[in-house]
Amino acid sequence: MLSAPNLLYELPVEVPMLDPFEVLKALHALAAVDEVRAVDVEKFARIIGAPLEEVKEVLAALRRMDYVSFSGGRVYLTEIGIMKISSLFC
Amino acid sequence: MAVLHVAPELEPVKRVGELAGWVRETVQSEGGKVLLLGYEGRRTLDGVEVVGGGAPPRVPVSDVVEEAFMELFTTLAEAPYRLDPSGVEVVEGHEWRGGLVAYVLAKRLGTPFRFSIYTREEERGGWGLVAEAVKSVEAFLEREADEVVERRSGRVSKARPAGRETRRAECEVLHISWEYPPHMVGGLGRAVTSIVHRLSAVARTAVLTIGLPGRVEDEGAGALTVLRVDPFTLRTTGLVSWVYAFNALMLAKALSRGLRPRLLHAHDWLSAPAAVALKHLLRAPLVATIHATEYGRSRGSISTPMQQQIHYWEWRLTYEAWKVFVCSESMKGEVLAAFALPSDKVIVLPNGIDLESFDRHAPAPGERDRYALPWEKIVFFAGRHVYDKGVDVLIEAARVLLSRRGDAKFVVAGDGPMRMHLEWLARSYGLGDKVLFTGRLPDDALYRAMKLADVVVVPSRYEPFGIVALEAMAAAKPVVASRVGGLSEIVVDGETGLLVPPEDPAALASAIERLLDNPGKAREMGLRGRRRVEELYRWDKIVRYMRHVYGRVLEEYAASGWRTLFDSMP
Repeated sequence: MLSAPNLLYELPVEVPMLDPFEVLKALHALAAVDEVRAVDVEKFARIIGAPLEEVKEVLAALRRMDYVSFSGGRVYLTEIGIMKISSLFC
Repeated sequence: MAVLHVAPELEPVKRVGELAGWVRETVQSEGGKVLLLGYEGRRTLDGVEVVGGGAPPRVPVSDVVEEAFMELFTTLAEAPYRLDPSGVEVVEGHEWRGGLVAYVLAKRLGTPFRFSIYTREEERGGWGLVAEAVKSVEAFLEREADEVVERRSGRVSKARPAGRETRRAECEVLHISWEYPPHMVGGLGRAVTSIVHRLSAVARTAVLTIGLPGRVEDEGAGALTVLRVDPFTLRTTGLVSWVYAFNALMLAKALSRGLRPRLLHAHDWLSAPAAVALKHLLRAPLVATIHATEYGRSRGSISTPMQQQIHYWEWRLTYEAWKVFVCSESMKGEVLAAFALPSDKVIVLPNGIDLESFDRHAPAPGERDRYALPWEKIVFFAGRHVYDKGVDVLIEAARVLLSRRGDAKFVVAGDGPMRMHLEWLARSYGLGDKVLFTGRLPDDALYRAMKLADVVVVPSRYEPFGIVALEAMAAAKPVVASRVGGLSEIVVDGETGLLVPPEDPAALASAIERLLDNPGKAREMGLRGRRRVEELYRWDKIVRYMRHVYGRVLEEYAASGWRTLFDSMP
């Protein structure tokens, strides 16, 4: 069987306040798409005006789904994450 | 030196803030002429000619960055009819909004680009995504400028590194598409790839497109040239301004590489801003392919600024195009209704299948075990996980079908915004082990998986064409599809598959079950589907007709007498 990421099982039952898709879109807008262009998580939370802990929680969930990756304290979209955003448009 | 000033404000003609006065001082001291953004008129001010760049369309925007890009594309399409470029030796952009226009115009006119800064976003104290985007544009323009002048301090610097890109690229036909390998999202990229590969056998062809991080290099130099930009060069404020930003970069790249195509071919609104500007800047006829419309996706409800901008660019592209290709009769009706085009402007030309490539991918021994148990029959879906594709309807149908029998396995390939919801839905119905979400599959894996299926399902709510149905038919598989859009033209009900009403899980489940219960009939349908693809949907036939249309457009263009003020420029 394919090892499809069924990470929803690992997510908390409550829907987080911050929409994970909006977080992906914000990373996309900030061109955080590779290690060089990754954004500092604290700065990212300030830019989008969201509580740091909530941002960290959503980013952790997105990381489990392979949509984002971390480099130290900085975060960026993976290629899968980029394509997920692009898929809105066709 | 004759300076062409490009400014968003100019005292007393157009004043928003202090910048208007500062620009006036600079213009008075340097002379030259002014291209004033967002201004309709023409006048002389202290002996300086002021030419309006044209009023942007009355389309709502979400922020100043989207507004600036709208202004950029409006001005570039208008400038060749308003501005005499003779004698211009340098193009000077005032602040970032003027800088964006000046940067592209300088490339068209072949002059140096000077960037004048009065205040930076950092000093203005902006905050959030808009401020980050503006800072990014400012930094980009400073990097790209031949000369940067900080007007308040008087500091002048030569910021542009040596070794600028001057190698010319040549082509007869330029395709402009946001999808092309490696940036492949849906069917559009595959269609463009198939077209340009066949076209380049008979005409020198170029593709202007975007890449992915680390994969933005240009390719080829002979019959087929691919020019890519990094779509993440600039920070933006959202999806629409991102599209505008990479269009501006594509435009600048085409101009800096000296492209002078005889004909432009743009695909969808995502390449429309660059295509429309290039049409006027280079005086080249434009044809367009509309693969889908926002009007169709939203069932005619265009309300948000994002939707209105997409709708505007779709309309603008079809308005500017000499001919508009659409992929089905259904799409022709949709495009005629959405954009009020004359019927003879719109040509139905279906998408095709590259059968030779498709046939090369055979499943490996044991590959079926990755998807299903030996006694399970595979019901296969491939597509983006968005509302229009009806994946949720398929999950509902799976629930109905699996309540009656346990030998079906639903394999759902793809990804998209609804994926988490769909996985939750399947799990909440207790179908966790009977619905497999594979995620996005590369083309070769997708084709192999499709060949392992017993039935392929296309449960779309909206489908301009339905390339997955065509691929399933190429794989000699029976198709169960919604009776919507292009699907009802591709799938012959009862012959190559079964058509069901959209959003009807019970009907979908019954149709799937009929085929699972009658494998002989299903096999016959699959074989008839394959023959239909071989007869009607081969790319070589489709591209041959496309070239015929190109020829007619070029004949009409030659007889048109169309001229611009930029014609004297090389």
